[in-house]
Amino acid sequence: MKTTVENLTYSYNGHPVVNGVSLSPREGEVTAVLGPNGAGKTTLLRCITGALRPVRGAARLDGQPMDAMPPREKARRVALVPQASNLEFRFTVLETVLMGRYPWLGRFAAESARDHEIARQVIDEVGLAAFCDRSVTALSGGELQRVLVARALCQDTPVLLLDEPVSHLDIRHQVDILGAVRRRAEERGVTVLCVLHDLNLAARFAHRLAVMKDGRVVAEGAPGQVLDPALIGEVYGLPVTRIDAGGRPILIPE
Amino acid sequence: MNPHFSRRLAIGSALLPLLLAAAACWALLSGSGASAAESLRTILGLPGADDGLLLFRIRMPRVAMGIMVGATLAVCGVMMQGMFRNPLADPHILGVSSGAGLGATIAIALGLGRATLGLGAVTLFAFAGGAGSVALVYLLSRRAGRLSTTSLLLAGIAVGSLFSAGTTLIMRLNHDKMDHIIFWTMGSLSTVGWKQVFWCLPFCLIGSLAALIFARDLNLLSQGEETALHLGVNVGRTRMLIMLLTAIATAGAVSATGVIGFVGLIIPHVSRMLFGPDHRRLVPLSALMGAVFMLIMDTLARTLAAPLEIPVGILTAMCGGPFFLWLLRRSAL
Repeated sequence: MKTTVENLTYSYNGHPVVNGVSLSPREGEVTAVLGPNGAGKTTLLRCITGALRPVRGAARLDGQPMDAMPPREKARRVALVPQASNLEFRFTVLETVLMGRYPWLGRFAAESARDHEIARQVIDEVGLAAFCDRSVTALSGGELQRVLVARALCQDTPVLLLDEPVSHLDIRHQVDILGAVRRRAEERGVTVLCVLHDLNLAARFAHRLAVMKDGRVVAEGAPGQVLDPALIGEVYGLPVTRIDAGGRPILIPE
Repeated sequence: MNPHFSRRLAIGSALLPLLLAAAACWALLSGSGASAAESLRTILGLPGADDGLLLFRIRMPRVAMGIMVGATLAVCGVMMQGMFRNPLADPHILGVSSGAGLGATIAIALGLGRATLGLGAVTLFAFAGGAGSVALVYLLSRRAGRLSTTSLLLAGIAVGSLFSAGTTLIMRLNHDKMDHIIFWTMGSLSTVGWKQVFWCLPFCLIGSLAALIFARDLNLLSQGEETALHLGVNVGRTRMLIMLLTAIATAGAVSATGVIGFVGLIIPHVSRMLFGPDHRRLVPLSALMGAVFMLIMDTLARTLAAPLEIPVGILTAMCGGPFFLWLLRRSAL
């Protein structure tokens, strides 16, 4: 599904947080959104989903403006993994992930065997098969984060947005989860837009990078080209050294 | 189904209807004026039966009302707690009870008696006050077409205090009617007849049906508004409908019985603890549990100090409060 962001602007108290951003993440690819804290990455994702209403510009799916779409239609096309949030009610992991099937179910329809199959498969994908019946209130931060990824995968949408999906994960699960996301993109042609903080993980798992600063996209392109020490040093205000290993750039703070 | 709760769900679904039947029988057979044996003879039409006036005109509508009001308050509490993700939320949270209280107080102070439909003016004024206060809260907390949970709750508290102050002021100015007003604000089923039952029935049905229709949406709303939105819930419309229907149901229930507290706060917590957070099962089981609790409390209210009648709101608070504290200490809610 063709996703485009056109000249998107969102202001908070008259101060532009996202300022004229245009992006065209490609189908079948992971586009990582990088940038320092407060660059407007999360706000950009929330404007795309319609949780925030942009003051100018729009996000479109196949040319159709997303804010005109009913929530249910939208949820069949776009899924979001939010930044780690707290869950207070004692639903199990399986029940929580099954909520991803909501946009596909009739009001009184119970989840079908097919829905359960999809849910169990994505739970397996994020490595929580043994946790199906565990209450979400009894999970660690990292386990909870993987539940949120599984719920979004369970929505089975052609567009997937992720907001720092691996911030609470250990290094192995970071690789597993981002690997699963990249497989989604490549095998099913899903358009993935993923906010990440770790530049080296972005270089390894994203096909393309977009770097934001002060609400604007300041660089966009392939990892080898965007992860330029001079550019990154200026964006983050931190001098970095670049090493190339195995055909991938690795940036180290000096 | 959630394996933690599957056994309890099975037991609850089987046991609660039986408990309800037992509580209804107990309520019908006990009380002053006719002994259990006499009442039983009347029901079964055996020799020695009386004309059944007490049983069919007084006790039976009262039992029906207890079931309806208990179920409605419980179900409305479930909806409010799920929607606001707030353990303190109850059916009265948006100012319904304060508004209803003010309406009833005005009617009592003005000495209005019968109105239309054979209903007391107090009932109609209470309903208008309850519905009006929610409308006011809704209008006050709407900003730029959007509705925030926090401003709803705060507006509810502010409007509630304003109306309570009005009630107290009118009470102060009408010394002679103070007893009547206080009795109403404590809640009682003592003035209930079939007319009140039929007046209340549609409102209670509205509340219960709304809870069943929106059960799955409530599951998602309980995950947070933005999550619900991203999973495809039309959050704005759903929330407005739930609020509106809950308010109508609560105002209907309160208008006939006065303000009965704690049922709508405690029953949802207890049933969530027993049966899990899935509203599709929580709603019907809470309704049953609320009905059973209300029947028991009301029967105690009229038998404990017979022939004197204790306002049932006092009993629900006196039994509910300590029980709730015990639960709180036993396990984190």
